[in-house]
Amino acid sequence: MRNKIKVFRAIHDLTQEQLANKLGVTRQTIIAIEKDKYNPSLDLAFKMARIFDVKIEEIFVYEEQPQDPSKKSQNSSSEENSPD
Amino acid sequence: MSMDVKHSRICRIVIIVATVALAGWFAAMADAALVMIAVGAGAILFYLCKTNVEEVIDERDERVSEKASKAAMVTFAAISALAGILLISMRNEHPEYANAGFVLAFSACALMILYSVLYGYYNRRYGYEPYDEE
Repeated sequence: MRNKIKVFRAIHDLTQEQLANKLGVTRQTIIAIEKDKYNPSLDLAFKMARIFDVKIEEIFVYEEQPQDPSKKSQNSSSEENSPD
Repeated sequence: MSMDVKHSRICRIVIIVATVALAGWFAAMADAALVMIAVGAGAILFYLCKTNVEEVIDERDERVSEKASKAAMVTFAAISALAGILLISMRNEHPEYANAGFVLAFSACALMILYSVLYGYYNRRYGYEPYDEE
């Protein structure tokens, strides 16, 4: 999942520390989210959306993980073999 | 007396190290009362050190703590179970290690049972419901 927190922070002229204080989390958490190393809970994501006054989808962009090719071929072969 | 988060952490580490060292020393002297006093004093100081600071514990900290706890539990259980079985199996050559082996093996079992019980409790607390048979 990608996010645009850095962009919205810049728009609202907020530092990581200020955003962390508004959300009641540590600055480390904001850094981790910005670097896509940690996905926040729905609760935190909604709080962020309220602070930036936008929808969650505008901050967080969900990207489906690419499937493992070997699993994909297994799935397709099992589908082909299925009686339906 | 208030202190910042960094000083509080240093303070807590010092208290833990001092308490363990003192308790170990008193245990070596075979004085159970002094061990209890040392542990009690350490616990009180630790509590005072922790309550005098406003430390933010957020969801990421909790996630990190969960991961670290699970990794520590699995590592300890696996190593103590293996070491215990190894020591028990050596009881013919080294009978003095057999008791240590039983302690390690039973500790691993106790840990896994405790984990299972707590897992069941938290699983139900966070919404587990068995499927309805229709």
